[in-house]
Amino acid sequence: MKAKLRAGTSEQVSNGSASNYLAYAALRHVGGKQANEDNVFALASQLPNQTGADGDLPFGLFIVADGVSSSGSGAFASAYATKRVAGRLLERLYLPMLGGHEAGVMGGTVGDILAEAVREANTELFAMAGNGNNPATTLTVALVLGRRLYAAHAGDSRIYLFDKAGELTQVTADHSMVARLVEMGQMSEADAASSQQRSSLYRAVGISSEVEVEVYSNTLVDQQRLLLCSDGLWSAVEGEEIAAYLQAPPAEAAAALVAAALAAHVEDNVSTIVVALD
Amino acid sequence: MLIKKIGIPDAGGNGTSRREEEQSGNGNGNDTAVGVGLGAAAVNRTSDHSGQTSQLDAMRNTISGVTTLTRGTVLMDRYEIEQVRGVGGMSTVYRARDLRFANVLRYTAIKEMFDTTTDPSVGRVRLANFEREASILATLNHTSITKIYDYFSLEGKVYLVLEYIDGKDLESMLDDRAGPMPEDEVLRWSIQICDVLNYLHGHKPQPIVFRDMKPSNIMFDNSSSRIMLVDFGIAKVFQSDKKGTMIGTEGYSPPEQYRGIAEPRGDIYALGATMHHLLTNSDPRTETPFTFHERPPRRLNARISPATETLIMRALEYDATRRWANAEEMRQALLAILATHSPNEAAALNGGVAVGSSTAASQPPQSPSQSQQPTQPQETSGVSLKPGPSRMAIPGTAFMDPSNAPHLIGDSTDMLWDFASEDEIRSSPIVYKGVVYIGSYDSNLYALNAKSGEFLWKAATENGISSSPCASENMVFVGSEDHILYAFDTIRGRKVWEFRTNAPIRSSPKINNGLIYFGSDDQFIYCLDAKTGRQVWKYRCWMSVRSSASFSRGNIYIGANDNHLYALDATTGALRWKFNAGMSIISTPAITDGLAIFGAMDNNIYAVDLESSYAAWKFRTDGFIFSSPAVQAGRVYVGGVDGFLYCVDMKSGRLVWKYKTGGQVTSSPRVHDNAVYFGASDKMVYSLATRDGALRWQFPTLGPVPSSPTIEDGIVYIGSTDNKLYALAI
Repeated sequence: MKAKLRAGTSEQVSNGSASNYLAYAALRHVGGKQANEDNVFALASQLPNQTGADGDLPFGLFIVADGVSSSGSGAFASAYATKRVAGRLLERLYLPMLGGHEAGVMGGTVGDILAEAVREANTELFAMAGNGNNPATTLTVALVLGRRLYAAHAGDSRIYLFDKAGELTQVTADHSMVARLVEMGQMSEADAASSQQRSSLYRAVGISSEVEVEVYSNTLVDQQRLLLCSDGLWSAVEGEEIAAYLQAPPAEAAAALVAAALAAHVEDNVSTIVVALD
Repeated sequence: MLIKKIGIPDAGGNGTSRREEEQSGNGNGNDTAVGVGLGAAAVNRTSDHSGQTSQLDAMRNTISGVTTLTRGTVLMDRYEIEQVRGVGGMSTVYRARDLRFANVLRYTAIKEMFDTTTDPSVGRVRLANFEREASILATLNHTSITKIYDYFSLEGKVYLVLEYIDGKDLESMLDDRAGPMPEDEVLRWSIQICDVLNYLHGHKPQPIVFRDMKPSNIMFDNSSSRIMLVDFGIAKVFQSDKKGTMIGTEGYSPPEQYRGIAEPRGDIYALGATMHHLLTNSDPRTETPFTFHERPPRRLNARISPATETLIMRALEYDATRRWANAEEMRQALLAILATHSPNEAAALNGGVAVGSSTAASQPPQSPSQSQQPTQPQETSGVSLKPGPSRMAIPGTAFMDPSNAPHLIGDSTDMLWDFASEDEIRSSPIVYKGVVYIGSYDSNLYALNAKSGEFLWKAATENGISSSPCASENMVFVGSEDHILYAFDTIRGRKVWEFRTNAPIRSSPKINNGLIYFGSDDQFIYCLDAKTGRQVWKYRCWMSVRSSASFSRGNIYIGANDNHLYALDATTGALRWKFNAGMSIISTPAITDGLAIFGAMDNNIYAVDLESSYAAWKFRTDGFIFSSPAVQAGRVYVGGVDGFLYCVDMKSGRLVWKYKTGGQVTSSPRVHDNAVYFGASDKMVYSLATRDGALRWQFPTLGPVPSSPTIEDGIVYIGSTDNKLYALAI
């Protein structure tokens, strides 16, 4: 595992390469803003096999959080939520799995555990609101267990899957007003992209006492890359371009994606995590 | 600077009692009035020459971070602030006394707005916009519109002097009530609102669109019992455009308003949203946007009349052309509904003219029809989801009303043939090489010609057969209550071998790679050589094994009554892992996409990841699950003892639709093309459309149908406890 911190810049680069599967690169760039209100988390690991199948069980946890600037404490919110959720998931999934606990009803389903961790972060952030500050953040969590992806999500950061045939699929739905309008056929994608309402979210962590967390699970067979990113990336770089960069190994791909966003004069922070699945 | 500081004697506390006051000086006109705010906020003392930024600021209190004028402050030498009525992010509303009318108590409302911009040129533009809006407001004349008397600006803040209304806004009233408002009151208010909307929309030269209809912008005047519209969005002039502020409030605003279109029918939508909120106490701002159609009012408040629900849903159509064409049309519809409850009131609101009553307002094309099933009506009276782009994940219970079919009894299907055995058929048939095999509780295994139903042979066991057979290599295998697993040859039904266990066999045998797998009530899972019947291995569980095996990746997966799903190596029987479901598993897992999906008697449907043995998701029903799921195109179909046939999304574990039968569904559904088939204890065999659960046909038998169908060549084969095996047209 190699972690590299470039002093004096707003970039942090780390590469995990325990094996090719789940090799990742996580990049967080301040982009066109004054401060970086995004946060990322990445952990890739291998658990001694408990299921008697071929090979050990890969475990990956990846999080992107994009603090809501108008809340007054976006950077705080995204850092808090990221750390809390990462900690809870390691506590409730990773450690029990290491401890060889029998899977089953007592522990809850993976989906429930993910959703609960996000909801708890929401409750805690919401309780901190006051004095004109309402710390809020998007929160997008990807958990890889073996060859299955579990995702829990609120906001407009995204998870994509890039398959071996070269097709890019968005896994999460944006919880923005314009996305909802596009979904309903009331607005075109082009109008949505240029709309002033683009960043208006109806769901995020910290804005309301309750949050409905969307949970998905997908098989990863036939997939090549997993991509998490904040809207700084997907709003500045087209899907086709993203797909082209994803062919490269994670470190190169992540750097190229960020560079593309900067070249497009993105006005936002840019975060991305690229994970190899081949 | 037209501000006079006055020390006033404390008038009898009437609402300002929350704030303590003290005066310095004794009524001397030049003394400073000092107020102490709540929570020991900063005390503002000042004299004329203190060097403060403004004299007005000096006379402020601080209530939760917002500074407000103190009681006794006089603005423009005329308006004396008496109390704070409301504090918002952008504005504060006071009750003030108009000193011009010295001999009487004349109150006004004063709205103080502050501009957030620091750019003076932007400020000038906004001031001009504000003056224009205020001027329009000044020309309006309607009993439900607050009159504007005056406006002025002082020290960077703008003030509106408005008619004072003695009452609360509807949002506060709703909060006070902590529950939905009575229907008739809401109807009455809505009629008045339509009246004023009519006036605004008919304004010349240009219609005025209110744009921000919501409960907090509607006040109820206690003295006149009238509805008053407040806040004509004048304050919006001063809002920052940073995040592209949308005029109007999210939740109540129609979709087209996000495209910048503000026209009268948008107000109709907002009124519908307001009515929805008042009648259900469900705040649209806290729900996923534009999901009113998933939350019809009657589902949240059963006391609302169907006519009112229909009226509201029409106002909430996303397509503006499908809404009420104008406020007058909506008003007439509201009057008609009110007339059925109280004709005199309706007449009173209609200017004394009697109103013809109606039990249903005019309907849009797709009107929800009532369910026909006898049980629990509120569960089945769902509203069809609007057609349109489908969502990636459907939240909550997207419950489809099954009554797209015109009537319950009517849509049936042809019976091609039936065959009577001598006792109940509780198990499921199979078709193999043109022959259908079925076990009966009369202890026989029957072989019939699949096309004609002609009897070919029967083979006897010594007790009832409740499990389903399987066939391979010209042998058919079945277990019996007599403890034995039998292998018969398919041609003539001669016994080839038998294998004895120590208890009844209720699990259905399954074949894979020449090995046959089944469970017994003797708590073992068995693996036998299919040709010879010789045991290859057996695995001990802690309770009966009644589920049947499924195969994947060299493993078998089978549930047991000891609450576990077992994953065993198919060749050796070695345990890979087991999953604890909390209660017995009778259901056979469906293997798909790396998941084992099955039901348990803890009422849940589980999806267990084969690789990690963790459950990806679970779906809760209200009764045991005996039924084994069928999976097709990313959807899971399974029946429950609670009477429903469920369709659940495989990725998220969320409900897509559910269909209520008249009994329990222990039968396992089968999917073929775009239809799903199953039986229920209400004696019916059902066929539903997979897309939305719409009924295609149902076939009545004479007894409960606990068994599952098998489908081959356009024929659905299913047995019933009326002793018969049926062959039905697909």
